[in-house]
Order: sequence, then C-alpha cells, then structure tokens
Amino acid sequence: MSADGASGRDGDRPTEPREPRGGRLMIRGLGVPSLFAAAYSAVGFSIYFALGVVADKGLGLTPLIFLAAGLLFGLTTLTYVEGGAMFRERGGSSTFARHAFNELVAFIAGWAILIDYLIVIALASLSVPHYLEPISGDFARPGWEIGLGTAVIVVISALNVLNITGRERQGSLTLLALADLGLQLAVIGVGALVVMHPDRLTAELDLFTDPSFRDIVYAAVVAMLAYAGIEAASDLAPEIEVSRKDLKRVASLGAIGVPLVYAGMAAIALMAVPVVGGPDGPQTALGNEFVEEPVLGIVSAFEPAWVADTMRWLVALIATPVLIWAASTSMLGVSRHIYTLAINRQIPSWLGKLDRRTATPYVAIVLSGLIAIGLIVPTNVKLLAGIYAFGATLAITIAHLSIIRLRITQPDRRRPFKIPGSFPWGHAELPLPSILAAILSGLAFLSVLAYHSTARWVGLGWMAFGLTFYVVYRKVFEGTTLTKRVSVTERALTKQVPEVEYSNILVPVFGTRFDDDIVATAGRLAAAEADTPKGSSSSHLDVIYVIEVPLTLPLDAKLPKEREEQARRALARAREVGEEYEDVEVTTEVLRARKVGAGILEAARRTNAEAIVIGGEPPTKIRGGGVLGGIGAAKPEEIGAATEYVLKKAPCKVLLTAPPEPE
Amino acid sequence: MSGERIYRGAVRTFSLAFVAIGLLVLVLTLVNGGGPASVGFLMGIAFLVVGVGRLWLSARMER
Repeated sequence: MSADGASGRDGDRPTEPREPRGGRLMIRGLGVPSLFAAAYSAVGFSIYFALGVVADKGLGLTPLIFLAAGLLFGLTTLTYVEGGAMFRERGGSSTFARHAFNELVAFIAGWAILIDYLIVIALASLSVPHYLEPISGDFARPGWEIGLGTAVIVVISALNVLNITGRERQGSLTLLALADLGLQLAVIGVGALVVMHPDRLTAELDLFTDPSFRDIVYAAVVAMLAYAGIEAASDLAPEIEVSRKDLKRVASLGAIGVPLVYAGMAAIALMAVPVVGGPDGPQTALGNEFVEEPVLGIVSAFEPAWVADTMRWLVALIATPVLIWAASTSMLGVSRHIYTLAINRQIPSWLGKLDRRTATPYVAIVLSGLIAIGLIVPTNVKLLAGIYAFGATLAITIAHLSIIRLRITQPDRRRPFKIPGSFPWGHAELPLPSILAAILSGLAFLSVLAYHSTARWVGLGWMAFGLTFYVVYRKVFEGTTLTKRVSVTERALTKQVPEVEYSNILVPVFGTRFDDDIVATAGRLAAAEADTPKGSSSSHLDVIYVIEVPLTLPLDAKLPKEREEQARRALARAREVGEEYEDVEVTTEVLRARKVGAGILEAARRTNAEAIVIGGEPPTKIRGGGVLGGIGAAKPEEIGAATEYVLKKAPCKVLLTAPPEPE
Repeated sequence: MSGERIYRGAVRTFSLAFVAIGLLVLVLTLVNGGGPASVGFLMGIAFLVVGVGRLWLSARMER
C-alpha cells in the first residue's frame, strides 16, 4: 500500500493469502526462536505492573483469576492466530473486522486498541523507575518517577523514529526474553522454597464477600492487562517464517504456559505479601504500596534477607530492560497501527506520514509519545488498567466476532491455521472456542461499563471522540461512506504514472540510503499495475543485491560475513519498503557476479523482467553537476558504472530514479 | 552459538525448570497438608504436565 497520495478508490477487495513456499507459511524472517522472543516480549512483561492491580481486587483469589483470564487469553490467541495466518496483514482485530464487516467496525476496533497501546507504553515506562529502586529509592519518588518515565518514553520514541528498534538483534532479544521467563520461574521456584504458606492464600478469603462478586469480575477483566500485547504480537503475522506445526506449537504453548506462570507468580505473591485485615476490609500491599512494582514487592518479602536482596537485584536487572523493551515494542506497534489507520483513510494520512530517510511514521510516534507522557503524569496505575480493560475487551470481542463471521462469509478461504473445535453450520464450520470467547469478552466489556465508572466515561469519551472525528473526516474531507474501504491511491498514482504498467520489475539495491527511494518508486509502479482492471492478482518486485566477486576467486568462494550480512540487511529493508504497497509481491535474492551490471542483466533475463528500476545519481545544488564534481561527491560507487552498463545493455526498459535534492 | 541452538537449549532448561517447580510445589503442598483439590496440588500438577509435555514435544521434533 502506498503511504502517500490523498485519495483513492472505494471498494472492498479481499486480499488472498499468498501461496506458501517450500512448505513454509511465508519466507519473511522470523523463525521459531525469534517468534518466541518477539511474542514473549509482547506478552510476558505485563505481569510487572498487572499483578498489583489484579491483587488489589482479587485478593486471595488472584491466582485463580489469572488462570480464568488465561482461559480467555488462550481462546483469544487461537482467534488471533487464525486471523493473522489468514490475512498476513498488520492490524489485528481491526484487520479482521475490515475483512469480516466493514471499515466502520474496523475503525471501532482500531481506535479502541489504539488507547491500549498508549496505556501499555505509559504503564511500562512508569514502572521502570520503580523497578530501579534497588539502585536508589529516590527513583520512585514523585518527581523522579515522572521524570524517568518521561525519559524512557522520549528515548523509545527517538529510537523508533530512527528505526533503531533492535529487531535486527534477534539473538540478544531472544536472550532477554529467556531471561524474563527465567526470572519469573525463579520467583516461583525460590518463592516456593522460602514463603510456602498455602494457608495465607485463604486466610482472609470469604467468597463473594472478600472479594465480592463485583471485585472478582473486575479483577478478572483487569487481569487481561497481564496479557496485554496480543495485538502487538499479532502484528508479527506478516513477518513469520515458521511452519504450521511450529506456529501451532508456539501458540498453544504460549496460551497454556503464560497463564500458568502468571498464576504461579500470583500464588507466590499472595503468600509473600499476604492479604491482611484493614480498616476498609482485607487488603494486600501488592495493591497499594507495591502497585507499581509488584514483583519487586514479592521478592522483598522473601526470607532470609540475602535471598531477598539477591532477588531484588535480579528483578531490577532484568525487569528494567524488559519493561523498556516492552514500551519500545508497544511504540512500534502503535506507530504501525496508526500508519495502518492512515493508509486505510480512517484518519488523516498526514498522521501516518513516513520519514523520508528512515521510513518510520514519525508523526504517529511523536504524537503517541506525547500522549503516553500525558498518561503517566497522574501516576495512577489502577485508572490506566481500567481504561485498558475497556479498550481490550471491546477490540477482542470484535476480533472473535470477525473470525466467526468470516467462517460464514468466506468458508472456502484458505486458512493456514484453523481453530480446533468447530461445528457445522450450513455451509460453514463455526469455531466453538471463538463463540465462547466472544460471549466471555462481550460480558467482560459490559462489566467494565457497569463496574468501573472512570473507565466507562473515559473509554466512552475516547470512542465518541474517535467516532466523531472519523465521521467528519470520512464525510467532509474524504467525501466517502463510513463503511467502504478506501485504501488504494489510484487517482494520485494515475496522475503521476498514467501510462506505465509493469507487473514484473527488477530492483537492484546496494545497501545505500537511496535504496528506499528506488524500491518505493518500483513499488508504486507495481501497485499501479495491480490496480488496473487487467492487472491480475499481484505485481511482482524482484529485489536483488549483487555481490561483486573478483576474478581471483571462484564465484562460490566464501566471502567475508560482513558482505553477506550487508546484503541481507539491504534486502530485508527493501522488502519492508516494497511490501508497503498493496498487492505487490516482493522476492529478494543475493546474487554473485563478476560485475554488478552484468549480474543485474543476468537477473533481468532470468526473471523476464519488464523493467529495471535502478538508482541514478542524486541531484546536486552545484551548478554544472557532474561537470564540476557535484554528483561525484555524493554518489555511491555502485551507482555510475553499473547504471551505465545496465542502460546500455538491458533487455528491457530501464527506469532511472534519483532521490530528491537534499534540503 | 546460533540462535537456534540457544533456543533449543533454553527449551530443555525451562522445561526442566517447569518440572522441578511442579515437583517442588507438589511436595511442599503435601507436606503442608494440602489435599488433591488444593491450589498448590493442582498448580504443581499443571507445571509438571507443561514441563514434561514440552520436553516430549522437543524430543519428538528432533527425531
């Protein structure tokens, strides 16, 4: 999809999933370890701030409440995996609703989840200073708390704008995810040894009185905060490179393992920091003194003191980077989410505007950072958790309903992962787990409306603001209906490239800063072709990186790792940019040749390319350009000789593109 | 060490950790007088099942 262009064509075009290759779901980049790391980073951090809020209401029932919420999490995971594998687009519940219902429902889901992303950023950032308490108790004081939380948000915003998200360092992130899981298991294991007093769990328990039915329901709904990030995890759908079997394995283990670990931690928590009688009834310090840093509160209660001290440092050392990473992952999620809303013309396109150099939606990131900073200022974790529950239950309910409806409206659609436990209904098979989950999450949403007045009014206010904005924008500025999809920038594209139609384009990249412009140009041309009536299904971009091998070496000689790594990075980046364009399929390949130009031509012949899009020299402000040396100073080495060779000998059309003049 | 090897090693380690925690919780629950319907007993069994299940899956995948 194109990020630019201001208007487009109405129409709902179901996007067929691309065919699997080589028995894999997709060749995109995330294998099982990376998928685990990314998914655990999206889900496994929220216990660090959710435990206190849930224990505040759930009291001694907290472990069971986490298990009950885990059941809904498990069912929800199945729904998101079926939807994510089916559409392989970002957007989670909003994307499912777009395909199942219409743009309006998609917007409601997307807008609801938007505030959840922001709340997760705020909660994770706000928790960081509290988890640094072993280093200095001052960090948790009011001034420091907001200051450090703001600093975290500023840093992650800057990193996301600069596209330094650490996603390329999958090994380190996998280790951090494993350390996170290890810490949580250590809390359970050590806790079982030093604070095993099961009687404490039930000491102040009086079912439906302490906690009351209302508090149990509320705690169970807020416990979904512990599973925050399922939307962010579902955003990985387009990047997954795993077999169906691996996907099932990771999803099912996550759905069982995460709630079990959380319930285990909750049990240890309530034995370490038990519920005690208070003037206002039974309460636990987890919901008061330690509400911002419940895990630190648990280990602080361990005995003997050296165990507590060791565990406190361990928690500080692991929880802090995990929370910062989680905030960054959520910022990445919110930026992608806003971008998706923008390119579907659900919000003004300038909100999803991409930075020319880094191709990140910087407006979305800066705005999200500012709102997240605003959310941490009241330092009210319980309020944020309530609002989170509003958005999560609404979006998750829509996600389940969408998957159910898609089973009816598109029964024959290819589903790489199908939720087990379906029953026949006419021509369709309805997924029983999703139906059950839709009922549960729908009731959970109603309970938030009934039991949490602040979340009710803030949540409804947020939705009312968004819907008003949406109606005005669609009706007044876009001049279209509320329900139809407007995503293809046909008018803008045809104005620029009225007669150009290429469905198979070869794009050589060189790992330079001009690559984005080159791939974006090719993407627009390919997307324009895919949009024309005769443009059947998708257009194709073959992105290649040619490694020049000197004659002194055989072509298949072992080359320095750096060169292959550079090629891999350049192609990964090119794929990201190319796939921004709807209906454009991107394949990438590293080639070896004696000369870059010859390699490009060989690839063009082999792939029957209709056109080669290649980078030209960037323009210069120096009058006389190359004559006076202006071009030569800025151009990369590959551009020039290789371009000239391709221009002279290409078997097809060559489109020379150059980035705009630097400002 | 490759990411895949680290991951496989971690899977085994954590599966064993799940088993160990399950056994520990079971024993401590029984020592403290907890019965088969107690939270500790059920949680111990659950940890044990997940740990053993993951080890079994891991072994089957490598065969």
